[in-house]
Amino acid sequence: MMRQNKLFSGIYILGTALAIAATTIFAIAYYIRIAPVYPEYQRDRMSHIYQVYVNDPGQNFTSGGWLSADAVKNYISQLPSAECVSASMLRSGTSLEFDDDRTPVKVAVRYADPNFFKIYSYEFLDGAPFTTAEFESGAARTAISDRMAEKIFGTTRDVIGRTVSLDFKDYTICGVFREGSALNQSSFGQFIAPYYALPEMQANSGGSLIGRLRTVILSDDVESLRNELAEAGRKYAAEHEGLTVDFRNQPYTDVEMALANPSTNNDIDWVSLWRRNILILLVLLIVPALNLSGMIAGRMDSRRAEIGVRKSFGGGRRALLSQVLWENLVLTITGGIVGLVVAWLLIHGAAGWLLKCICGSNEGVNISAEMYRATPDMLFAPTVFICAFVFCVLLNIVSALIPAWSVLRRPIVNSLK
Amino acid sequence: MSTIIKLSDISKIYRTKTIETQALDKVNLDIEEGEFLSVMGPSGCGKSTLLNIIGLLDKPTTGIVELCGRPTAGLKDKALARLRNETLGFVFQSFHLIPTLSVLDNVIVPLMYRAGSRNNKKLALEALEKVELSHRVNHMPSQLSGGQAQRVAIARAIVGNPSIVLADEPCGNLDSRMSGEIMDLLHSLNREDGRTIVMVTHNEDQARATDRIIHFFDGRRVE
Repeated sequence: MMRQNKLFSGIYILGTALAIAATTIFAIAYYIRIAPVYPEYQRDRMSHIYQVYVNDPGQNFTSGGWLSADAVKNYISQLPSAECVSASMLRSGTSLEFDDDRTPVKVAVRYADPNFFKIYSYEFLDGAPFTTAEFESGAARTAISDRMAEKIFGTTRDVIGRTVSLDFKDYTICGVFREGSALNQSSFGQFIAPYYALPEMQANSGGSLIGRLRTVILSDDVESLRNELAEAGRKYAAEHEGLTVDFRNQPYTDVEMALANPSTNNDIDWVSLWRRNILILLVLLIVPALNLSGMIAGRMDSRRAEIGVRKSFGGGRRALLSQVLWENLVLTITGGIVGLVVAWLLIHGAAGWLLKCICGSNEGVNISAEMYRATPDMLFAPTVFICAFVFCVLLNIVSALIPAWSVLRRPIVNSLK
Repeated sequence: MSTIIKLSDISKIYRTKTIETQALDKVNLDIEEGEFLSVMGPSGCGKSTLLNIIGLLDKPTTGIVELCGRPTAGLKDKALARLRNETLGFVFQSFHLIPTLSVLDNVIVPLMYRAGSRNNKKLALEALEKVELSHRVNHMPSQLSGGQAQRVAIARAIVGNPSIVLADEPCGNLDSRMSGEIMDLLHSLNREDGRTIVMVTHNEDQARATDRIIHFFDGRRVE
């Protein structure tokens, strides 16, 4: 049929390809945010504290923000259900200076604690992460990504012990790790250094809960964590008379963080979230289905006599319907494959603007588009492939069933006229 | 010989919102096995409607159709399709070859809907040999002359070895030489294979060459 009806087949395949490409990009964007991809393999056990809200009724003032190092150490790390707690912050505008005459560039530095490497499975190509002692002492040590090492030194080997200048402070390289993607919102960094290496982090927070650290907790029991965190908030409030602390049912699971993108002042609105996503999927499914359905209706009308002949010679409605659906499925799957390739090429080639648009910014900081690359395990995921295939089949059924059935219902003599 | 087609009190009324047209009015007809019957009459007298009803392509408003001694009333779509596939072959005035299929694939069409059918290609080649078109198997319908197209249509009609062939003005779109070839072919199918043939025609010479002629006028059979 493809050879014999080139124009129809070509337009049909193109239409399907566009629909599948759009759906695949949508699916990949979601997959990246919720699936276990490098180095966030423990997403199913991770939960996050996004904001804490402290209210001072005396001053009629509520402030909200991330956590301080003291809060992490004195309250979050003490939660009984927390298997491992890590806090970190990302600075995307850090200036990297070179020894030679190269112009300084902006890089993304994640300041973290040693537990960071227990939760995020960074693969070290050389050396190791900074130690607990180095962290506690605020030593200027850093792990560097392989891409960054290549960029600065032209190699990933023999860079341990060398120094890099970050915001005019020299850091000694302790390890080289395989870089992830900026799409991994809570783990990305081209450099990973102890947060105590920052002078402002060494300063006493004055007992404030609010600070600059994003906190991730490894646990199998999020509900208990929520209760324990609320209790920790009450404990803090009791120790600071007049204050009230609200964690708003945190920590959020990794899926909640990824999908709901909780804003500063609102709780997650699951109803709106589902409504929006279902609406997007329906638009992606129904709009091309209507277009393709119209094309198939026209095509079926031109095949009316053929249908009449086939029925005359013993083709039953079910057999003919199945034949039409199979023919269409071949076209749809061809379109699906083209669509997948288009989606992959688009994401691979234009990951920067595309995925940044879909996935949003990283921790609210500005990261250059080139860091939003999709790694192979993000692109060639069986889940995405299955989603695209299911979408192909649905598209085929929705677009072909009604026009095909409508023609097949006609009396044979009318079809033969 | 036994009766292979029996029509009893067949009437067919076409209704629209405003018009009611009686296409057939209480037609009774018995056709014997192996008979070559011609149906004649002016345009609009109900000949094609009669053929459609015999061929189970259309249902009568009232009356009973029996094929091979079996009443067809009340049969479901699947059973009707099977009966058409196994018992009937059709030859249409405008050939109705499927333009996107090759000659061979056109002839295979009836076999596609036969359960457990094997050797489809071999059977189709045999049928094409019978109509002397073995050398055109890979041609497309658009590459055939009218006579060749009708011979392909006849090959398609007989490939499933049906006992009845229904031909609706099979020479209506052909010149006299090609018409002669087609009529010879239909006669050989009747004489050599013993197939029952019911043919609608306007041509008296062609009709006279058949075993029996029946005439229709205004939906009624007239002697």
